[in-house]
Amino acid sequence: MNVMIGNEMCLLLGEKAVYWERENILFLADIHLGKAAAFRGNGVFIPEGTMDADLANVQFLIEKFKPTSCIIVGDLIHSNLSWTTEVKRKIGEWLKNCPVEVHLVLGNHDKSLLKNIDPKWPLKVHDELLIEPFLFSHYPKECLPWFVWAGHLHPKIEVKNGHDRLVLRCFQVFENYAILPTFSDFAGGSFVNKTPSNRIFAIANTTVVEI
Amino acid sequence: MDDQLLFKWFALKKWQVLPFQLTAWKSILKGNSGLISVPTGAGKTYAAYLPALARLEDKGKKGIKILYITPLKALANDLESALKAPIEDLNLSFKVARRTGDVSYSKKKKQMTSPPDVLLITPESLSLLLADLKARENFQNLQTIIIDEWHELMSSKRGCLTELAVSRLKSFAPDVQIWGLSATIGNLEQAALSCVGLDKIPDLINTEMKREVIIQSITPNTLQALPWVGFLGIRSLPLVLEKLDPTVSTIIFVNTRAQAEKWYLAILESRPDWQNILRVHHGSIDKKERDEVEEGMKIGNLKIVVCTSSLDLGIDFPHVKRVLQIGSPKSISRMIQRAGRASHQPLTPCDIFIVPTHALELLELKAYRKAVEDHEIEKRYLIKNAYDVLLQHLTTCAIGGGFYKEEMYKTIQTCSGFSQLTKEKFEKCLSFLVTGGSALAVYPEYKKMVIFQDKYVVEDSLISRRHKMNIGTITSDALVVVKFLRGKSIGLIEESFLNQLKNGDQFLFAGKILKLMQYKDLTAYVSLAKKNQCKTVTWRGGRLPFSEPLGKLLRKVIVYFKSSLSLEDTLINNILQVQNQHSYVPKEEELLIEIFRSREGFHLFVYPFEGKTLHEGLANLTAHRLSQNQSVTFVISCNDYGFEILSRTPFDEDLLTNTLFSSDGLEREYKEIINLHELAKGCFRDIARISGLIFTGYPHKHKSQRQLQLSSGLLYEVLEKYDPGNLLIEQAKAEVLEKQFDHNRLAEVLERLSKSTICCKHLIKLSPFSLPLYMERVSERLTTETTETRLKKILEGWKKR
Repeated sequence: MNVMIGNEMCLLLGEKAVYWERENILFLADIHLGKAAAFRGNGVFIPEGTMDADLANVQFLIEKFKPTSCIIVGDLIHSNLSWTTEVKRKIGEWLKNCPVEVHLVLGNHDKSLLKNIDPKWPLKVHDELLIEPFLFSHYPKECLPWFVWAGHLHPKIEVKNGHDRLVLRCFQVFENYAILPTFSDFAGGSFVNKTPSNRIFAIANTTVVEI
Repeated sequence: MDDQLLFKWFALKKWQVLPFQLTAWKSILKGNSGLISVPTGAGKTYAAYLPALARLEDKGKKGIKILYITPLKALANDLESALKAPIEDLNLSFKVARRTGDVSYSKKKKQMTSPPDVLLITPESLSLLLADLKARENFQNLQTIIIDEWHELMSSKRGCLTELAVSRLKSFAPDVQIWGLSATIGNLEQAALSCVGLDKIPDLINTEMKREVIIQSITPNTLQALPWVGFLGIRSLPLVLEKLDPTVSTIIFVNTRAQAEKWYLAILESRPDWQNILRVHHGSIDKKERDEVEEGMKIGNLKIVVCTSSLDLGIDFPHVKRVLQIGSPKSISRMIQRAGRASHQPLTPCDIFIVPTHALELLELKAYRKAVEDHEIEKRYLIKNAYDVLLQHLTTCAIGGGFYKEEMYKTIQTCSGFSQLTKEKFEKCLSFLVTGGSALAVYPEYKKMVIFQDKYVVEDSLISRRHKMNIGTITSDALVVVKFLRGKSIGLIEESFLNQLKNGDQFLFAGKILKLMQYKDLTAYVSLAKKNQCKTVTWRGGRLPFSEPLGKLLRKVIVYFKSSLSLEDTLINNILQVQNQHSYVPKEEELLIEIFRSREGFHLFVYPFEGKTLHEGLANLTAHRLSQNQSVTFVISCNDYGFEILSRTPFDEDLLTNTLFSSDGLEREYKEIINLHELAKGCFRDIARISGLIFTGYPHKHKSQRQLQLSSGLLYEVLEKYDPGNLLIEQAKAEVLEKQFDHNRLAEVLERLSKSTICCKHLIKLSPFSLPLYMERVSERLTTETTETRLKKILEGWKKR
């Protein structure tokens, strides 16, 4: 769904990412790779599967839009226990084969990243990243004159009438900043409400619908 | 100790030895195991405990000799005194101690350096002791295990946990005697066997002591004064006030905590002069306050207490003369238990006054009378193959000294709940803990349990610590402490309720109107509010379904037009007349279906009168059959009388025939429904918690554990998708099948319905039967539409408004 956000035309994708056509950039947030591995490291058995699915989804979007770069707005890796040999191998392979430049804006979950990262990986790491007029920051904030794209909150919305009720992930867009939905399927979320000060774009399967 | 001391002590107390006690003493002194079942208050405790005490040697070996397991932490204090009494009176040298959740850490530590001879314990604390490295040492000289209230435990996962713990104790002390104490239930033989384990032959000791229960109703004179729906019943306040007398000690039982609060306040507002003799009692209120209320009732200072099931069991209140029950108690044994609170001689008849909260509950009263007449009482069913509890127990044992595979399998098979556990499933449980058990991959980072020289142990101390925090099978929402700003604690309340409140909001709790001042770190700070407007705390799991035998009886009494003699019968006739005006009163061989159109859509009401639990399965099945060949979203709701299916589009009335209830293809359809529907997710919540997949966290340290938090719904999806054949998913589905699609009974009911004459009525106005379903909708959804379509339709609905 094409929407004017921060005076730029953005394509909000049902695959939980945004394609910014003018700059030919794809951006998304909160992948939380290695989350299942972190649970296993803590003695809680969870099978792998979501990580492969999430990486495949990113790959699918890159092949579809052929952007020049892809920005991950924080929380690429779940925790320091996520760095198993297998997880590391999979991420490395994905980055190596990725035909576009990958940028990471550091999030709260990425604390362990800098110690564990392989210097040979083609991954550019930033605290914040400015590509005018957009400022990419993991934490939501206002920072005029820029328009901020953030993640971190994992927004979801409840829609119901007398008959039916759905809980859907969503994009939450304010006047000067917007929050991306979580990219990973293996993550919870926090409820947001539709108010006059924001617009909500909910994701039903792969379709984006404004609420 | 000499067995003559038994008689000596009873003589000292000037008590007479009852025949059942004598039988029990003989059997226990012989070294047998078994179950003692007599009505509450008849003296079960001493029937089992005294002979066990008599078998102790003066200068015996080290370690715990008698283990007394009670599910009721609240009663532990009184029980401890009861266990100490004969020892003190007879100047014996045995040591008695109590080990429950509220005993201090230092005391517990001391207990283990010099173990007592007699230990009083809850199932959860026992599990914790089994996770101790010294478990074997502490229990190897155990002589007797007494399990109190086995009828309460046996049909729950706490019962499974107890069975497993007892089997572990047996492996430490093979000659241990096991005695269960139980109230009257419908399947005592099974209860006895599950209590002692399949490797022992139980001695069943029960008396023919039957107690007569007289059910009286408190109703208005006309039907107009009785509401058609509702469960609070406040409208009957004037009638209840007439029955209350400040000189007669009375217990008023209600079914939910919210109801208790409302009633307490309503009575107090009508009779402010009763302020000092009236109290409210339920499980969320602070323990200290509850103790005060119980003490007040015991000595007779307090005259009227409004309570929930919190006072069903427990200490005797000798002053209580009258019992009122607001709303239907929903189970025969619960009603008898409650009625018995007013009668202190086991054999004398007892009265219970039932106040119906809505018109149809009058019909339920008839079902109770019939049940009492027919001596019908509920059975307690065992839970089979609870993998979640087994996984917890295996981890406990691995921490507490470890175990060998073959030996453990043999031990577990002696438990009734796991007797059918195949070797293959057992191996699967073990590999779940050791490797994750996934067929598809190997995960070196997963090391919950390891095999060291053939022994299964837990090495990681963090995993042990976390496991001990999570031991137990009672799952609840996160609880928030409610405290006055000055610091006095008032009780505990579910987090989900508190999240609905804003600072400054008022709510009713512990009989007080409180104002929320601040909420942080799982503590809600409140102050007393002045104004009278407030929300009442609403708790999860409020309403109980009818028990199985009652469900069956309901249909028999409901179709019965009696020549009216009493006020109650006249009222029932009036109800049925109104039903006839708007719709129809079905005869026993008929099935009534009503169709109604409202702004919301098309409602289909079906009345099999089989109780809520069965209706849930039946409604899902019916909805599933109606949704074949079309995309549709149904909203389903059920109560004890029938079920409702709500649809946006009209129903195809050609489908409303007997074939809709055919039992053909049932087995296959169950599976489809469970897979399609979210039913199993609900069960999975507790399973994930008990098996240790979801860590509820250290108290008050939620934030630090964020990385381990996960919603059970999400976990269910991941496991179902990426771990085919997962044991716990399988269990969740089996639990749904057991609970809602109770195989045999559903098939039986379908058989009846497919032969009934179907009477289909179109309603212009809602009928008395349909009103409760319509008004109190507790709904589930069954859908064959895509998310996109559903969202589109919801949004269209908004535009129309």
